[in-house]
Amino acid sequence: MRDVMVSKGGACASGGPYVIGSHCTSGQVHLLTFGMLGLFVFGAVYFGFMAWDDGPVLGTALFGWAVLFGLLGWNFIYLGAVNKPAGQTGTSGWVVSGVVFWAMALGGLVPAVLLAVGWLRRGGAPDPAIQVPEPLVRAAVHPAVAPPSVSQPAAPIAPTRLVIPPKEPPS
Amino acid sequence: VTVLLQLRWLVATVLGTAIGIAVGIAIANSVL
Repeated sequence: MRDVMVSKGGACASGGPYVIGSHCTSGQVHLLTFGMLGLFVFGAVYFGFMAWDDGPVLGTALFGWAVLFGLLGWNFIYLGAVNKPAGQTGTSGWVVSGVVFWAMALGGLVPAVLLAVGWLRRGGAPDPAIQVPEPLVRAAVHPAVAPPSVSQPAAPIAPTRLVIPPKEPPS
Repeated sequence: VTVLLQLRWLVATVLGTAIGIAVGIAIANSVL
């Protein structure tokens, strides 16, 4: 990405139906494509190893987040404000992007540093807050309640025999 | 040695990061 920003003004394209004013070199295409794929593949390998070895996954993931967006933000701010590429104008958008990336990096760096400080203060011991000494939810045991007794009615309400009234003579 | 064995995740993280940066810079310099 940095090479595209330095040599192409930050934008390039390859292929497709449109006329392209700024062509990507094959090296730029390969680096961007396999760089991102490599990030995910090696990230999966790394966190798989950390989970298998009972290492700290949350803290290292937060540090990785901070490093990723911190480097992206540094690239934008350095090329947008500190050392502009030759002939490059209108780099305020890069500076804004860099500031936003650094704010995102802080969101990962602050909790990661807090986790690391706590880990160092405990001397590398596991977090006691995670080790729950006793269950948080307990079952309330009530005394056994006898089921309500169903009493039979003393006398049937409905007549047991159908009484047919005598027919009235036709008038 | 015992401390390093207990903190092998930290050793692996530092070594892996260093190797990754070195290999990445070498690949980028050879491709661009």
